[in-house]
Amino acid sequence: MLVRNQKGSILLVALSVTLCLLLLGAGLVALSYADLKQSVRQQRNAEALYIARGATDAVASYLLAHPEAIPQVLARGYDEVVLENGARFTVSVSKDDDDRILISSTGYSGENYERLTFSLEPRTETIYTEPEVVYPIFDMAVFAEGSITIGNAGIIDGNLGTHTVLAGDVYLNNASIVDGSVQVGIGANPSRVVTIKNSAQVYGIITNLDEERQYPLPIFPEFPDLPNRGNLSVGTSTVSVSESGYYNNITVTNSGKLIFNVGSGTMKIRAKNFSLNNSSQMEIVGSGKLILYVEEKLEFKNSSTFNVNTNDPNKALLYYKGASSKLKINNSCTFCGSIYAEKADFDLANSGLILGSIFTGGTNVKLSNASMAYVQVIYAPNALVTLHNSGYVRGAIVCKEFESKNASRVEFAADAQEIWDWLSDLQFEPQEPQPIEVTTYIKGSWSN
Amino acid sequence: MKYLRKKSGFSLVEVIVATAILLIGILAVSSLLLRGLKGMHTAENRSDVLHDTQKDIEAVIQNEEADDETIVVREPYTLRFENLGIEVEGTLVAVKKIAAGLPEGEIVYVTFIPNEGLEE
Repeated sequence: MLVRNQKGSILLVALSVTLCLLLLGAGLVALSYADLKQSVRQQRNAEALYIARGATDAVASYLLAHPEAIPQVLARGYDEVVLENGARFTVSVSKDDDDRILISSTGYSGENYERLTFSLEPRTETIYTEPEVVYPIFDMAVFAEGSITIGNAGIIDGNLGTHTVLAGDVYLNNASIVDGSVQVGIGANPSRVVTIKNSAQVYGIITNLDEERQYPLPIFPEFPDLPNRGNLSVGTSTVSVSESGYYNNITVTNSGKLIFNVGSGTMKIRAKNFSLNNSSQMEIVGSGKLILYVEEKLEFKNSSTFNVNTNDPNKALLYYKGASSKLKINNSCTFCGSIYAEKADFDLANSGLILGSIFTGGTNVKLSNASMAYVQVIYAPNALVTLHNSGYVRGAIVCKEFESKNASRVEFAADAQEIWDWLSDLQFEPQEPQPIEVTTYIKGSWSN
Repeated sequence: MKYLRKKSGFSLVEVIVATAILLIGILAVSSLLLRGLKGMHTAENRSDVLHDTQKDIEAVIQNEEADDETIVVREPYTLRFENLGIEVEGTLVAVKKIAAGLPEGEIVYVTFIPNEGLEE
């Protein structure tokens, strides 16, 4: 019927075509709107991404430059920051199972956000410490590597220290007194290491050392080549020497006097053998100092004196290379100066007196029979140091083992450290570089 | 003529009304089409500018030169992470690209480049 009667059908066709065109147009508009929306989202995401990237970059670069801050940053873990221009981001810092540090940042732009993660990869490497000179410190009356034995009313006026961890290695007996603290090796049980018997007393605390100590021997110097001046023998007269030189033998005896005119500089005298005997005197004149190098035999005997006229131990330094006999200062001899014996044992006895310091690589140091040492230090890290029969030390003692008996006394005095400016004369080997395992971080990679 | 007279066609009224409807439809559709095409063009234009701006900010981060038409504003800045307890010295960088076809007129990306950055 409709087909047969075509009246008005053109209207339907026109309406249909118009509708189709409208649908097509609406579709195109929807498509373009979606495109626009997508591009706006893309813009916001990119804005958020670069905010997040800047934040991640900042934290990662900071941690690479300041690895010491890593534990603190890891502990705190999270932060939120709003920049002055309104940009906002959050940062979290964490460590994963592979020990990598993950720095994640989320940047915000409107309702859009982007998250970025940068990793710092761990790298374990062995580094070596810088060669470093460790200077010994003298802050105790006695410091021994091993055992310390004090008996028969021996007195230690100051602190005692030792590296030993062995039971009974610090033994105080028979009314001996330690007027100070006793510090034993790290990790040891102090009450097992220290034995106190028969009215012996420790006035201070008994505890452990805070840290290991190192007492290396200073570098023993090469002896200088000097003009040969033959032998020098002085007896019942006065002889003056004004120039540095090498002598085969220097002998002063029978109240003779040997004067070194050192002027204002440093005079160097090298001798194969050096002997002061029978009330002889060695004097130093001038504002400078004397360095004496003795190769084989060194004797101070029978009330002889060495540099007593200045009474300044900084003016005389004696290096002694010989090892065949003990270096003895006894029978009322007085020595004012400092001694560094490469290998010789040392014996100060029978009212012998030294003002200065003693350094020795020998294995025995003995002070006895009312001998007195006013020293900055008796430094004998390889030696058993023995004080007995009223031997007296005012200053510090550094040794391998220590023994004191028969009313001997060590009195630590802080002002004794000023007796000798030893650091200007002695050099120490730098320590061997020590390997240390350290974990450092290197740049890793970006991820979403 | 006889044949034509015998065939019944559209009346004049029908043709006029149909034509009017079609004209209205075409006008409406053309407006939609124009709007749609303009929108698509704007979206495409925005995408191009975004891409260019992104390329420029990457260049700035890599310490390279940005495009001549791009405005790069650098401002020394201290980024403070108060809770983490760190402060990072660097530069706040704004990379601006003028885009005449966009409603906002420009695209701006902002980032922070530390003085000792990862790209060093």
